[in-house]
Amino acid sequence: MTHIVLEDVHVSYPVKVGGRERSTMAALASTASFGRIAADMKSLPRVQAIRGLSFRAEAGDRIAIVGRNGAGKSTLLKTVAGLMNPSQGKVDIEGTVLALLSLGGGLNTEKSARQNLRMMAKLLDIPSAEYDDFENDVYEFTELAEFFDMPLMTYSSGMLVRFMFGTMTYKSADIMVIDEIIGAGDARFFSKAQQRAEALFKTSKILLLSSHAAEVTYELCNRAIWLENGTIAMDGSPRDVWDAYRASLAA
Amino acid sequence: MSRRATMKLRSWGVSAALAKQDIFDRFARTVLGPFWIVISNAALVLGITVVFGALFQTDIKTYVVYVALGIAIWTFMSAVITQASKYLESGKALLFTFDLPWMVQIARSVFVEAIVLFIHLLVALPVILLTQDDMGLVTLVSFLGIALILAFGFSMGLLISAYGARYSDLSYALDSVMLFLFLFTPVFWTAESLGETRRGFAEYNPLYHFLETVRGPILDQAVPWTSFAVAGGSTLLLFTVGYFIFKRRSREFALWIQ
Repeated sequence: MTHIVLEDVHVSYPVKVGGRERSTMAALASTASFGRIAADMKSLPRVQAIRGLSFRAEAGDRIAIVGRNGAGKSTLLKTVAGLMNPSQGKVDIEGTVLALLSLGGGLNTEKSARQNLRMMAKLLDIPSAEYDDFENDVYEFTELAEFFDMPLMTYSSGMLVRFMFGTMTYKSADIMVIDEIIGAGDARFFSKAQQRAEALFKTSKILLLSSHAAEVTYELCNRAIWLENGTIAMDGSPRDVWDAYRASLAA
Repeated sequence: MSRRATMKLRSWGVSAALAKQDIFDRFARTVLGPFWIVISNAALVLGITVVFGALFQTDIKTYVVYVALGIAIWTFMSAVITQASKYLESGKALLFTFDLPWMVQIARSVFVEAIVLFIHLLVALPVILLTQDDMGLVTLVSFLGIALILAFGFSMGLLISAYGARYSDLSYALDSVMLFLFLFTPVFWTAESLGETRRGFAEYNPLYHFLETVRGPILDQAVPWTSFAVAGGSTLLLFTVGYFIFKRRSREFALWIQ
C-alpha cells in the first residue's frame, strides 16, 4: 500500500562558513593528534532545517507544502525523494517516487530537444520499443513546434520548464514530489500541466507539491501542510491553511 | 533477472551513455575532435623520447613504446586521482533530478577518462607494431593489465570522490602529490637506470607495477608476475575500502554538495 510516514524526523545541514571546516589538512591534523589540534573539525555548526516533523500521507492525498523561504519545504521534499537522510527519526516510504526538484539535469544545451530526448529516455528508463511514443508525446505536450529541433540554449526559461516537465512526467510513479517549478510556464502551459497532472494523479497515488501560488494548490491539492521553522504549523484543507498562512504574514 | 541485477546493469549502461555524450561535448566545436588530446600527448612522448632516450642511451625502439604506454596510463590514473574530488559536485544537477545511484556519476567520469586512455592506446598501437618485431601471444596479457588499471581507476574514483564531497581542498592536495609521484615513478625513466641502491623507489611503488602489467607483456614478452600480484592486490584492497567508504559517506553527500 502506497504511503509516506515520517516520525519525529530531524534534518540538519552542515554549515560551510569558512574554508577551514572543509580543509583536508585541518582534518588530517585533527585525526592525527586525536582531536587535540583543530578539535572543532568534527563538530561543525549545523542548521536545523527540519525539527521533529511527523506526518502521514496515504493514497489519494495531494498535499501542498506551504511556507516562507527557509521554512524547510525543499528539505522536506528532498527527504521524501530519498536524496537526503534524516539525522534523527524514521522515514518510511512505500511506492515508487518521481521527484521534480531541479531542472536542467542531464540536459545538453547545445543540442535540440529531439536530440536530448535520447539521453532522457535512458535516464528515465524508457524502453527503446516505447521511444517513438515517448518522443511524440513530449512533442505534442510541449508545443515547442519548430523549437523542438533547435538547441536548448535558444529556449526561454518557460520553454525549458515545458520541455522538462513534459519529459519527466511521461512516466508516472506512485508518489510525485514537485518543487515549485510549474510556476515558470505561461497560462496555457499551466492549464496543460494541470490536465497532465490530473491524468497522472489517477495513476499516481500521492502528490507533494511545494508552491507559493495559492490558486495552483486549490486546483491540484486536497490537503495542505504549512511549514514554519522546520515543523508543521498547520495541516488541513488548502483554503484553510492558506487563509491562516496569509493572516500570519499580514500580522 | 532479479530487480537488483537489472538496476545494476541499467546503471552501467546509463554511465556509459553519459560518458559518450561527455566526450562528444568536450570536442563538439573542434574539427579534430578527440585527436586534440592525442596531439598534446604525442608531442610529450616525442620530446621525452628524443631527450631522455639520448640521456639514458637506451634502444630508441623500445624506449618510445615504454614512454608512450607510460604516459598514456599515467594520464588516466592522474586524471582520475586529481579530478575525482569534484565528480559528485559536477554531477549534482543530474543526481538531484533523476533516480540514479550516486555511483553512476563516478562510473561515468571514470569512463570518460577510460575513453581517452583508449584513444591514446589506439595511437600507440601502430608505433608498437612498427617497432616490436617478435611479438608472441603473451602480448595479449597486457589487456588484463589495462582491465586492472580501469578497476583501479574506478576504486580510486569511489574513495576520493567520497572525501572530495566533504573536503573542498582535496583536489589541490592531490595535484601536488601527483606531480611528485610522476617524477618518482618510472613513467618515462626505467627502473634499471636508477642503480642498485635506489631500486626500491620503483619496486615498492604500486603505481609502477600497474604500468608494468601493460608494458611488461609487450616489451619483455613475459608475464610480470610480481607486478600482477601487487597491482591485483592493491586494486582489490582499494576497491573494498573505496566501496565501503563511499557507501557509508553517501548518506551525507546530498548535504555537502547541495
